[in-house]
Amino acid sequence: MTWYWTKEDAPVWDAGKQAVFGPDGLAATGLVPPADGAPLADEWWRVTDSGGAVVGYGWLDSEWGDAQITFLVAPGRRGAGLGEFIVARLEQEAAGRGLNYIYNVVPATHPDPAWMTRWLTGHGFTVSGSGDLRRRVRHEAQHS
Amino acid sequence: MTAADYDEKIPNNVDLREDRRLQRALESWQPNFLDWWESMGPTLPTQDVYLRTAVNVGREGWAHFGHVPMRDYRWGIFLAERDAGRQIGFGQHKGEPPWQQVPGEYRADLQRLIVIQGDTEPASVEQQRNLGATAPSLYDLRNLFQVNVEEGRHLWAMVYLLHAYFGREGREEAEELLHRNSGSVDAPRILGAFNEETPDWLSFYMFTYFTDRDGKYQLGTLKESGFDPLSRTCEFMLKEEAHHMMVGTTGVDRVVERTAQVMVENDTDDVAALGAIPLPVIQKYLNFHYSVSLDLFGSETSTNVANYYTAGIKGRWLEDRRRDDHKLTDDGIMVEALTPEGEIGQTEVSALTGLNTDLRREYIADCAGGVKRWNRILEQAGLAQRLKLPHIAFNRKVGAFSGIEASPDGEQLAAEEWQRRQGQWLPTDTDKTHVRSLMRPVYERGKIAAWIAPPRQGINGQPFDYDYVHLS
Repeated sequence: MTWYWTKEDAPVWDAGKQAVFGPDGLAATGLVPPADGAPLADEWWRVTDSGGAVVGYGWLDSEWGDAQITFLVAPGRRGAGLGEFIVARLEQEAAGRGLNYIYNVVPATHPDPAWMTRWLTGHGFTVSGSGDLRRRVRHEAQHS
Repeated sequence: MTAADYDEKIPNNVDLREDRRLQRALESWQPNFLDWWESMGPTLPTQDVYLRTAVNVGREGWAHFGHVPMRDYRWGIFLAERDAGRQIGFGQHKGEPPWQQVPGEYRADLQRLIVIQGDTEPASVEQQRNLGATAPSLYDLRNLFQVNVEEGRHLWAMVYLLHAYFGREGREEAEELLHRNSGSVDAPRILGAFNEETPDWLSFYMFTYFTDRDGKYQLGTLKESGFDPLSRTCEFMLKEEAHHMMVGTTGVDRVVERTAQVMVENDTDDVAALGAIPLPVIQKYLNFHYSVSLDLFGSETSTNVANYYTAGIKGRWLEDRRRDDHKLTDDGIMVEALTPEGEIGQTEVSALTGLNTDLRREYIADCAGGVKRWNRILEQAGLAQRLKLPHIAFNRKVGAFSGIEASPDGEQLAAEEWQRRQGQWLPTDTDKTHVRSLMRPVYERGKIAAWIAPPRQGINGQPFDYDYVHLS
């Protein structure tokens, strides 16, 4: 399966995102959606499959050298390695920005926070003192 | 409350002796800090240095000057005086009394912010540890060490907050602050810009002007925090930080002054062979340090920073001087962006999510003051050349312009043109080699290297030829 990673230069809360997220996706990511068509904060990328269908999103919130990553795999597309693909691309983006660590916060609204935490720790994230899950950015990720 | 207690093992003005458990915890961290200072601090052996030590946090006479062996420097914990009438100045808690303990719902965010701030303090000491070997004068060497010991004290300030208010997790984070090291492959410092060695004194002055200034603006936002101990800690740190700004500002002043002098005396722009740093090279160093520092503010929009503001944990620069409702829920701001056509432009976003941009703009306006000052030196020398800040899209790795290349004038460039021309705007290996070739130590009282002018005044009323440092 080939997936494509595309930066959204001016991300907005459009119909495409609304369809992929739904109430479950919002709960899983803790995203508070703005009004229909309004700009979204942070840097956003969408993932499409070879047929052009949007299969996921990843976004990065950087401030004073730190970077929070959040991602969502579209319903019906889970279990195919897309989450791993998105995290790897977000790590690559972080490396390109000179960032040394990325972290994720599992929101209290997540339907299965224990599963999400296990998934992240299984992908090299460790629970930090402030409760977030953090991973050292591998800078060779820029060139992979 | 304001006078520091110097009878204690850890000087402080927070009544540490009243909390034995906290005192023991910090006293057990102290030897680890000293080990870190020995292994990662300045490498040049010294007997003693003419240093400023904080003794009081009040307006008058807050510091004492004297010759001190650096290992015996009294790193302490000082918070600005408590303002009994203070109210939180912004966000959803505006008008409420500030918090004396960490609110549970903001604990993780506050801890993260304190750890990041704390991580930068020892990082810069590590970056600058070898600079003493090439100091242009004893005056400059003393200033370097003053910056270093105060960055060490700023680490103490953040470690105190972690120990006093964040329990076991805070203590673990305090240990980690000593385990991460600048440039380490396995455990680097958090911010990318704090992982490169400061290789020469021009870089040091640029770093203290541009990158330390970025730190000043971050501290300014934390000074507004509803968490009162953090606010008071940052307020006092800003007082010390002013000296670090002075070292950068006057350091670049003196490099520009000397270059201008050599240009005029020899009626040439090509001063490299005459032992000075050519103006175009100074401009390239400025371009590099400024653009890298712009990246430290993060992307143009940020959900986290909006949440921090609404929660009352991180405000804006000089929040009380802003003439708005200090909540920003209905306000907008224009931020830098690429247009749908891929050109450099702006777009309007919520003022809350645009707070990184707001802070970056305050910083840019401040940076412009330095350039104006340096150009005045050129003007007074009768020279037509001028320095300038590059365009905000130049050499950016973070945010809206990270995917494009732009010249210092803001002209968008194709990648191959950027590759071909970047040596015109950023320091090349040749530039760096020339600057480093000038870095020879001058340790004789009253003498100074040929590439930099002497300061107009010494430290604490002492003359330039004072014995600021006694080497071993």
